[in-house]
Amino acid sequence: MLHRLANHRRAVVVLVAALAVGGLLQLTNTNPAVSQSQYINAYEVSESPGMDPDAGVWSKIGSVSIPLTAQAGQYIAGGSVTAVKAQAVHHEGRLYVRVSWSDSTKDEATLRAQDFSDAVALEFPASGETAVPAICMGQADAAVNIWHWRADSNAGLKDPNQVYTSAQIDGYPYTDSLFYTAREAGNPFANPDLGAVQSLYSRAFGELTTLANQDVQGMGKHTADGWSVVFARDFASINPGHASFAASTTVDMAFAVWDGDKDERNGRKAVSQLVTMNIGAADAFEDGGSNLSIMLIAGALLLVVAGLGAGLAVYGYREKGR
Amino acid sequence: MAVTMRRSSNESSWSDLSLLVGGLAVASAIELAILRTFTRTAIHIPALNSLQEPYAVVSRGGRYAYFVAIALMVPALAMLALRFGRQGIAATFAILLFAVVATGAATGLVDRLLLDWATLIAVVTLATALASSSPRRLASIPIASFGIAFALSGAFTAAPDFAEVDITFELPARVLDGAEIFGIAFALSTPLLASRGKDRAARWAGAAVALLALAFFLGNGSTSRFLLLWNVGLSGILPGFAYAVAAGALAFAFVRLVRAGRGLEAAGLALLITGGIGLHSTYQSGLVVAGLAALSVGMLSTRRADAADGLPAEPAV
Repeated sequence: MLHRLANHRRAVVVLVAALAVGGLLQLTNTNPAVSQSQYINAYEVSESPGMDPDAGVWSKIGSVSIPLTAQAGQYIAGGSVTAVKAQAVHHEGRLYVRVSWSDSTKDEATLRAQDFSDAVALEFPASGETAVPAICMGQADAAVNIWHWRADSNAGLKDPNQVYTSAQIDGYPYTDSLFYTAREAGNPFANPDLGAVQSLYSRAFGELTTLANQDVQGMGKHTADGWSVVFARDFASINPGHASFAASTTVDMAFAVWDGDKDERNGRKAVSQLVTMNIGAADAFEDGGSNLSIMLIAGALLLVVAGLGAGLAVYGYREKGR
Repeated sequence: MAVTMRRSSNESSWSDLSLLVGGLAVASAIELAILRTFTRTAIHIPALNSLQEPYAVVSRGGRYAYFVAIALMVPALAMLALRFGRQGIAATFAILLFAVVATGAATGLVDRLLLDWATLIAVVTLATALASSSPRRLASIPIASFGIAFALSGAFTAAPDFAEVDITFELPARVLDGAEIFGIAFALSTPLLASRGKDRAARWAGAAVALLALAFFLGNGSTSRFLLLWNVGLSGILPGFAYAVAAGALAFAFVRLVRAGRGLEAAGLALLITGGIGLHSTYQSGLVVAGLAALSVGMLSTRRADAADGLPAEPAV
């Protein structure tokens, strides 16, 4: 074996060098590979878009259509939403992500046991993680931070009398939480003050935890076209389990959508794979016009490269025939 | 045993390249097994928290394999480009094009619009050149299927890149279904890459892998589809049986090529599997470029060896 390898000294030297270079790259955490997955550009905008999904700035920013697949392979039906459109901007150190998807029914009341809420979630690697986490609730050495927006939380607490019109409710004159057992136990869905978004942390199945510091805001609107939801959070966050953001950086993110009308909840949902969000330092094209010069240069470059490739392929094929 | 063990008359001139490309295939396979598969399924291990130390060691090993694969990719691509002569000028161009844009992207000089579309052009050029010049007519079927699947999936991902120049360009999600079908067609037709004849070991390997994959799909359809999407770029819209048979066909073709002494082609096939379909990262795209180039050089080598050994040449396209 060694004798045979000795006949290929050059290859062996290159192999050994590669082992050494690989170690050096790992030691210095230098990754020369660049992501080519789908990406969303989060440009800087001059005015805050606010929490309104219909704010003018969103109509000036391009959206990216991200395909979803049904997560629940073993369930019948699974996730039914096939794609979401995502947009992102940042303003004065605050990130805004707008997600929209088609859903003809507005499912925002979960007073009955058989009702389920429409919902959407964004998933990011938790801060301090160096490996890209598994999208299935993270992995042992790479946790995830999930922002979970629910339509029922967005709508606020509803009066059960609206659903159970014949119900008779005994009077209870106090407003403290003692007799609101879910709220007293700390169930965030029973607390109307926590907002429509829960910031969660996980590094494995069964370990999903609500973070102590809830600093993600969310607001959703439903129209005939479906839902549009805006998430917002400052770049900086005090909890170690939160995702971290900064201008001129990239961050991985994934999407999940639940359609309550189709009984979707928990693991029964539609999910994307990880996409990249580029948090750019440059301003967005906010004037509504097109950048004609860049467009022409890019188009010409592509034509030249494609033409060169086709020409060389034809040349090579003819040479082969001789 | 009906396998023809090839003894290429110019074997030594290819073996340095085979070692390098084989090393790249091994490193990327270890990376795929550990980094892209084990670490993502380890959450199913009971009491994983008590196994943090061994988990961390294995995970670091997978990351090391990833960096070694990146380090090996550079000399492997350079040697493959040099192996193509004038007849392989399109393939040389494709490899160089990819190398330039990937290096440019790593240094921040090339943006995603150029990187993605240049990568697609490189892969499609290589697949076209390989399929059209394949010495065996049927061998062009898996290559063409792979090229089409990669082009469809990659174009879907790269279409929104035009937003960089304020152009809205999106492809319908149906394009991904097409990529899925051609991806499965590629896997199912890979036995056509190997020569004819019976090979019991290859059949057993194919059957074993197919059964294992089927058990995995039936046992945990959700996680297996996640892995399928993440590892090879397929979304899992077809029944699990289709993917199990496809995995079996890939295993059959790989073992058959190895046992026929066609190591470079086997390494090329392995690189296409580890690289996956569609655009994921310049690392995985590099594996695909190296895989197609290795298959091309390997097929050329086999044809020359056949001619030198006096074996009848099969009709070219």
